[in-house]
Amino acid sequence: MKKALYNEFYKGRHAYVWAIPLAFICITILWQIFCNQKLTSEQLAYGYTYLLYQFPIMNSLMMPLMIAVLASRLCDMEIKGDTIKQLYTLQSRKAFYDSKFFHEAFFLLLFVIGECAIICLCGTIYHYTDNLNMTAFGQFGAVTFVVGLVILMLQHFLSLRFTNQILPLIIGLAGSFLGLFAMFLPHTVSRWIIYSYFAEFQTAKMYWDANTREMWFTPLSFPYVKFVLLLILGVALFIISQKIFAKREV
Amino acid sequence: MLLSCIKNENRKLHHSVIWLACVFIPIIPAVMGTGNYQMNLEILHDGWYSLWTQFSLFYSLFFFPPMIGLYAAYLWRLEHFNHNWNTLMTMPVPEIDICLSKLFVLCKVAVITQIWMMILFFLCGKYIGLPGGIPIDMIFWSLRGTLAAFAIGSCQLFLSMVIRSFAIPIGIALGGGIVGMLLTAMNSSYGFFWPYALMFMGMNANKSANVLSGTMAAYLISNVFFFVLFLGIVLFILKKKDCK
Repeated sequence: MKKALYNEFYKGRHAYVWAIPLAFICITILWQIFCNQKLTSEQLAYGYTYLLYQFPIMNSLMMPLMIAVLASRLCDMEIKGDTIKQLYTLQSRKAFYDSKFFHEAFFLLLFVIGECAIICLCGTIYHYTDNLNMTAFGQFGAVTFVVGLVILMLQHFLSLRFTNQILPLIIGLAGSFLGLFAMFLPHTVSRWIIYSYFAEFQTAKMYWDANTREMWFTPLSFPYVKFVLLLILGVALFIISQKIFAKREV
Repeated sequence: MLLSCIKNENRKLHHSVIWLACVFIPIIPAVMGTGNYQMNLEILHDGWYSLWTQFSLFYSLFFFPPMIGLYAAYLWRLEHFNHNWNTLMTMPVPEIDICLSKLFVLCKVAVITQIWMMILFFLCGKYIGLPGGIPIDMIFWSLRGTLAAFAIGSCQLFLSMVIRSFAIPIGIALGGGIVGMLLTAMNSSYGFFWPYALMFMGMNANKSANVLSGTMAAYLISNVFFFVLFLGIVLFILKKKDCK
């Protein structure tokens, strides 16, 4: 497995895959530069809380398509080169499927680390006056990575399953759409849309008074049971997709 | 020759999954935008205009550029496979015809997407009981958005030609849409200098009043500029560069 993973990194060394999370990190930085212009003392007082509220919403929009692009970029090299049959003579199907997935997950992890770093940097650069709640911060990082992994499992499977990469990307694009719109839907509906789960696990709830134009936040208790269920769903999805892929004739 | 090239490009799209994106993706903002409109009737009082804000917001802001990116990437994908670049470049076909035929087909699919979006808009409006037909303003905004789709299409055609990966140009289109939103939020005139911002300026996204009143000429010039610029770059590359 270690060797298979090393091979994946070796194959992708000139593919500039790191540029995908980096580009989205740059967009996030731009977004923050725009949002942090001329902050009032009240806004500085809930700076970190607002970021922990805002980032999951941004992730619902950006991450499904970013993950689809990431998975497609790495899987498409095998499809274009028609190398899968050849690879199966050199390594087990399971090792191939897993190593490619972990390779993609590595770039996802880089993106999550980048986002966490942006939150910390924003606080330092713009001098937020509230304290960063480390529990909420950890929960944000864990949720972003785990939800991203579950979506990545789906995209990874689709990108390897279909030789035409347009289909996985249509699903990724539709996922971004659904994730964003699901936030406006009743909770009973949005809970069935996995793409909306970045926002589903938000650590704070925002209130807005249109008359006084005041904004305030209340902390939300973290739904640990739901998070564990999501983990189980992720593992189940991975095992099922791996088995389906392994049985497939190439 | 150009007609033959267009015919060939059209044939490549026969039974293609691209139509799935063209039909399926606009249904999502239609259903969800209408649902959102229904849930917020206490603050949305302008009938068709309010429904338009719900329809056009995310559609033109974030999703139309990646859809155009998807179409463009699909049109170049076949050329990136195997040794098709060599075949394409050794055929007795002028580069401009190759270029224009792809652009024509891309624009055709973009126009069909826009028409489908407007049909959905009408059907959703009627379903929730809005009186009369679609106001002429919105048809005009949709036409303006289609012009921007041509400029974005030209840009995406360039990106998909030079980037052999299918997925990367689509990611760039999403990024471009977000950057466009930030630029226009900073200063609305910045949008004229960024092709991806033209779409939601033209579509009057999330606005009931015309955002381009008084700046329509600048908008048109900007669209034509980006369209010609990227088309020129594509042509230049095809003429000067060798296949890799």
